[in-house]
Amino acid sequence: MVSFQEFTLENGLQVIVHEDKQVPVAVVNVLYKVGSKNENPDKTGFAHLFEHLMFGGSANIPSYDPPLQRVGGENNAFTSPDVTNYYVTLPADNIETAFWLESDRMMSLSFNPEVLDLQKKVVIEEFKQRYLNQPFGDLWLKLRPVVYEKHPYSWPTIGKDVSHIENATLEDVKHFFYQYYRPDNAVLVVAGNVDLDQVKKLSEKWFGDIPAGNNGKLLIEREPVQKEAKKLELQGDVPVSNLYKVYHMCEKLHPDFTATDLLSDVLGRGKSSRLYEQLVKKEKMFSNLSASISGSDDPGIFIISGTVNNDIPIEEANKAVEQIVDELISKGVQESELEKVKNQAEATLEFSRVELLSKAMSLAFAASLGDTHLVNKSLDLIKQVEVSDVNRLAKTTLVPTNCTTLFYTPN
Amino acid sequence: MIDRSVAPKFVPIKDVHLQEVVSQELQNGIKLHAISAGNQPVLNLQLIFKAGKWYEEKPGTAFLLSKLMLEGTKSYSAKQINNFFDSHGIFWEISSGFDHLTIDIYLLSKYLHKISDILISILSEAVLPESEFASIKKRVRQQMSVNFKKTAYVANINFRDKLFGKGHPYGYKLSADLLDSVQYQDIVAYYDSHIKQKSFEIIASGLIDNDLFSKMTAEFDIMTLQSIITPNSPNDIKSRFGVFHDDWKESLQTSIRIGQVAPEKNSKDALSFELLNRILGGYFGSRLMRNLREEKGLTYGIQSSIVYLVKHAYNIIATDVVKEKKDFAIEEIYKEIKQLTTQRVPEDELAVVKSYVVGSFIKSINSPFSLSQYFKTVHFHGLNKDYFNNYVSEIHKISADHILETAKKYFDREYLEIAIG
Repeated sequence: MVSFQEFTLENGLQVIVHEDKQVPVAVVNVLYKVGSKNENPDKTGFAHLFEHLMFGGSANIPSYDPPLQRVGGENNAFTSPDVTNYYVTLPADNIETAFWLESDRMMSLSFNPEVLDLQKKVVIEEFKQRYLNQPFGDLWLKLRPVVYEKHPYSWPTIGKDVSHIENATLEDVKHFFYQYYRPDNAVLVVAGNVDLDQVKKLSEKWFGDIPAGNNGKLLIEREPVQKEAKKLELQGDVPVSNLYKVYHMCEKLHPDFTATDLLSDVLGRGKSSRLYEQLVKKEKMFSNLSASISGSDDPGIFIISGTVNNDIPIEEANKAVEQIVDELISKGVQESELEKVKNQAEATLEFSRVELLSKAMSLAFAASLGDTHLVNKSLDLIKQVEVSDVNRLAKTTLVPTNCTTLFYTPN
Repeated sequence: MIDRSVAPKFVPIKDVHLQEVVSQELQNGIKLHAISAGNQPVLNLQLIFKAGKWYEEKPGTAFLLSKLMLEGTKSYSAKQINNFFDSHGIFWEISSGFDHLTIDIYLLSKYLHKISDILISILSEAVLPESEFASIKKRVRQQMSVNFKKTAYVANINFRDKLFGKGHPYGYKLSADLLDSVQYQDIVAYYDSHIKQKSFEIIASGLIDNDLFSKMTAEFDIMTLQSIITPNSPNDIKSRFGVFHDDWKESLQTSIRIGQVAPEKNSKDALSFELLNRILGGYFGSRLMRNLREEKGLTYGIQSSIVYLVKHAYNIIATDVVKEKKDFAIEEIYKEIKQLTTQRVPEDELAVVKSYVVGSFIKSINSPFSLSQYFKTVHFHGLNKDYFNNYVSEIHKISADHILETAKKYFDREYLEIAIG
């Protein structure tokens, strides 16, 4: 159980408080409900570029980091297709510094053109380091647009292309800020050695006078149902072959979400999973092979991926995977298999409740989906899944017409 | 209206007292150290053997053994073991490091009584199947072929190789040749001499009440063990300092690694060297980060860090930069190092770095598992048991003069410089 209390300011900012008096620290987590899926297709990479700009000074504070470092605090942020999340951890005694910093940059950024130019360069280097300068780095850059033809999950958070980042203007930046970085599009979580009254006062004092936005989000196009199997073949300077099979699946709030997650575990989580046991251990066709889900807010993907052993043709490896998937569909999962993955999921959940920051983020994610109580419902959702659910989902999800297959091989 | 241009008041950070560690030597010689903290019913067990690189006769042996130990025992097949752990949601891995071979287990405390039979079997009657030996080598070789295409990976291994010098157990790089020279018999011999029924230490962390503690002692006291005879590797460091560049035509970035040996964790210079390292490149506002990333946009990031091994320590500056600006970046790195040896750090900057360092320390005390990391540092580096209880005040005592002296002593020498890609 993660205990919490919540309230909302007049400007629409949702505030969630989790008290934990065992630790000497506090976490201040600000989630903005904007991710790469909210970007204009001609200006991608913006949510992420923005994450960088958020550290380049705000209306009244020239630089974000030094005042925080002075009080012993630390911060970071990440951008996903669905949200952008900023978090500060600091000694609980100095929590007001985090309120001051976070509220000032929600009030307004400095919009300094030099900061924009510099961060564009940094992001372009990040693009190269992560996506271009290593084997298989560009895999998702090329696979996403084949899997998603309409929905903006078709580009990665870093953007479709370096040129989108190069072309970003200060006007674009301002527009994006006032569209998405408003209190009524944000969730504030305060966790750790704090109490509710203190958080209420501080939230009102620092965030209370920030005006709400008018929040016109772009309409996000729904991905149409895939009707036939897709195939992508890539060659690159890579020493081994990778096989990916990607299937469309439901969104996070769908009643079938947890059962689909468990289906991926049966197929490919850990060494006792079907794929690993059969094709890595027994037949030695792959050096690693697993299945997982993207877990996104909008309809997501179910991914089987593996590295093919050098003496095995990739077509043969692909057939072997399909055979195991077919067997799962025709014969179904066993009660004991489902029990196993449920226990794994339970342990994962308990371990994710150990660290304060991870508890704070779980609260923020739940709130961003519209119901903070979701944070304490996962265990029940796991326990309720039945063999018949998993079998039904195997039949509807893991069909060839719903699949994109990628062969990424050495050139 | 509040004045947003004025920072709120803050208080200086004070020493914190870490949870006491309860240590007990079992009758069979196992040393059990337990740290109780947190609210979740979870437990981490680390079984630590003196069986890392340091103790190898042939490089690569410990690494390959750590893989082969997963492959079944006389009583349990690999499949049964994997199925058992997975069925109870237990995460475990065997890893071989510089100094130790560690079995790391994360479990819900309610399953403690179920794991000891399998663990004892792994530690006394592992099968180490020869048939798997070849396929593990093959898998590792394939993984290696991917890593050897990554500039950062190649730069890292070259760095250690040259820092510690030929034949040193901390330094070697795992290559295909090296892998080939390890025979199956070497693995079996290493298991027999370092693991099989040999004494080890356990570090347990989680929500541990008296009842769980007695259960742990009971579960592990049934093993019969001998103490281990460990010949110390005699090797001194034979560093080859100097410049090693390798240009990769197709690469967009160059991975730079610059560094040298550093004072060991229990040296009297360790803390001031740690601050010095932070100022140079050990936090987001560091001099290298400001210069190379924030002012010049040459890189996504640059870090300077200290790696403490049981017998040695080293300092390494790491960054991936725009290829065409490689030489410029290297020049700037040396410029920042040089400046620290000639000019006192301004008080403002020192205050920020100290706050940052003690702040990160306080913040990291956020789970039983991080407390167990602190205990390991104290235990394996032979530090005073109050080392971290006094950490904050000890950091505050260090002056700018002290830092300048430390910089002159450790920074003003020849460096090892690697640039790959």
